[in-house]
Amino acid sequence: MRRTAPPPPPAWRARSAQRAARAATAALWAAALALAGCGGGGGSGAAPAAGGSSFDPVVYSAAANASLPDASESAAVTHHTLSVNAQTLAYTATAGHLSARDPLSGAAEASLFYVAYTLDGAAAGTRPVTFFYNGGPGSASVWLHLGSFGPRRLATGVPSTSGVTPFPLVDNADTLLGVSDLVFVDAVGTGFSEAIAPATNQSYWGVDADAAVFRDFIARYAAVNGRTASPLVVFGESYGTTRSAVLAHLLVTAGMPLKGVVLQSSVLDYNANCGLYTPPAPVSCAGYVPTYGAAGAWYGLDMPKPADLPSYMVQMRNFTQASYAPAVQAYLSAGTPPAASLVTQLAQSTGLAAGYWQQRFNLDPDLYQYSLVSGTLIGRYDARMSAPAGSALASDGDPSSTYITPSFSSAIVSYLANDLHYTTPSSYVMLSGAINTWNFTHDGKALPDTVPDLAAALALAPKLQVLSLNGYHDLATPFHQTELDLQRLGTQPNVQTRLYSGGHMTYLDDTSRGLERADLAAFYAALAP
Amino acid sequence: MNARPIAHVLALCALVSAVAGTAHAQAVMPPASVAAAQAQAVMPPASVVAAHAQAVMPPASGAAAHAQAVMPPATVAAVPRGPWVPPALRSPAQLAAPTRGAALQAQVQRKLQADFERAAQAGGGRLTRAQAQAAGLGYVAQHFDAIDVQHTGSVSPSDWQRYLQARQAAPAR
Repeated sequence: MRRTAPPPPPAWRARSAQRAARAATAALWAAALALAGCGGGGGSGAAPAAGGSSFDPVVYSAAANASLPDASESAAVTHHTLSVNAQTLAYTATAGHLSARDPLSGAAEASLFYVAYTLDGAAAGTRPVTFFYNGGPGSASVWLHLGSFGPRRLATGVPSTSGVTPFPLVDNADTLLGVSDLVFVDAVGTGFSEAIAPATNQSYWGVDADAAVFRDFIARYAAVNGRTASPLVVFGESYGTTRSAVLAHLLVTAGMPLKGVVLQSSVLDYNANCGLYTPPAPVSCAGYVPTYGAAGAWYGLDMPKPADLPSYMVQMRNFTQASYAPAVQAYLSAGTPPAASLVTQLAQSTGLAAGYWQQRFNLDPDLYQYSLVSGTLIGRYDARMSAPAGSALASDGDPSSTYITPSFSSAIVSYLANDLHYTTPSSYVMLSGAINTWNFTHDGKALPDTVPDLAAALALAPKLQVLSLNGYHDLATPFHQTELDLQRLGTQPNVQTRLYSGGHMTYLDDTSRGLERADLAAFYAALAP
Repeated sequence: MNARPIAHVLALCALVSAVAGTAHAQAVMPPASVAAAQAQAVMPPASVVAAHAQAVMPPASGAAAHAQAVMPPATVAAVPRGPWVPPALRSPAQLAAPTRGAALQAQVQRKLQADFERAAQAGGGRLTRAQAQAAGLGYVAQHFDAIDVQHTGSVSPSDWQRYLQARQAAPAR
């Protein structure tokens, strides 16, 4: 039932043989791109090929031992307009690479691919600039880029799993471009980002090294674009929130003007999320129980049927803290079996049959996903999205992820080439194998607990605004676990939580994205100068 | 056998035909069964980064000067999208218990103190404003006067510690 892990990555061929093979492939694509050309609008920062398109000839690799011999900082620059709320926003899109540099030696560390959207005519010096990144680790930032608050987004129709695919790319009425410039950054070994020799991609595949290279990229972006005085906001999702906590401490320590941290679907403490571990989970799954209640409600399995979700979640939190959590602690430490009445309550309030709660009292999300609805796999990222067991949508273990991936994969490639005029013979790496060799150690622990990092940033910068966003139906990073993690910070008036219907990528849901947008507007308005 | 070069050659051939004026229906290669490529049971051979045959052919365009650019398809490795930890870490002997209150504050103090001492090693433990800036401690440089309460022109680890403790006691600013 549990996903089996992929075998370890094979031994790599010698670097020169690798580059020769990639260069041969690149030659094919270079010829194809030269033939295709690309007419039409916009200036170009990189050397224009035939037809006016901006062509980056470098072949980027996501292999662990790969590195670029050197890196140029070229980009494709295009101009666009967006009509939103009877307003027309004129903006510039810049797609290309900047080199993160070691702050002490100035040596180039890595060439990171980014797409920046800047509002034309705005006072850039004081306008916020927000850096977005997804997680994994090993995921490109395509999900936030084309799904959340950029000027264009894919209309996914989630939670439906029977919409028109591939999703259309539309103007985004919920874009944040009106309140902040936006920079979507791909981590090393994702997108078209790669380490620069003597470092290799693996050099940055670790909690601390990864956060440091992001700090250095942000510093480079600010220096090159005259934004060193602009308020900084970091917007990470999933492992990107782990990164954000570590990064927040680094940015504040470096004296950079970090004013806000947006945490989308957080895993701030890997030691506290029971879903990460092979069952029976070694740590309490209490953080998941309110989400089980939300999922059960969605499928009409909770008894009695909840009247409204937010009120029901208050009840579920209270029930979890007062009854379930202590019982699980007793079970984990002393093997104390749960009372029959508690098992009944769990079954009724989450919709999952009592037998499962008896069989595995500390109930992990995998078991819930596969067992809630007979013959059906419900989504891990978004529990509202399901598919029949054995169907194509269910074959990867998460219908909510399988459903959206092909559209995002094809859209990013055509959008970069045809709208942003950035072309390359390289394949955009949506997801790399970085996680297989990622160094998760941090502050002397085998798995990262980044709440102290966030606390350190707040200790130095008490006016730092932190906004935590979660979906009720997320079985990967359950909202209540994040609430428990953030509660460790004690009373922090600048740390706020907002919850919405939806999953890990809450913003894919049209209604929830609109609500997130409104909460984010208030967040940006509250940033300290 | 890496499928990527084959997909690329096919893409190139079709492209050349299109440019030559042959009408092609917009042939979209079957959406890779992205699911199949990601399924743990089916590993792409010889490469962690699996190619997905999702090349979209440019429409033949005679009159329009604007041909669609063709890029290689995006790739998705055969790993779940995360957050997750690799197999070696999935059965940990011990997980760190969450700290809060005084224990968390002590962790924060240690962390911030270590930042300073690491940066100050080269300069014999003390930092001038310029040295702090050069060592990457921009925060120390910016708040130097508040940290250097004795106005010696350089700050010691004790100065920093006193500054942090004072902030902890009265954080509102």
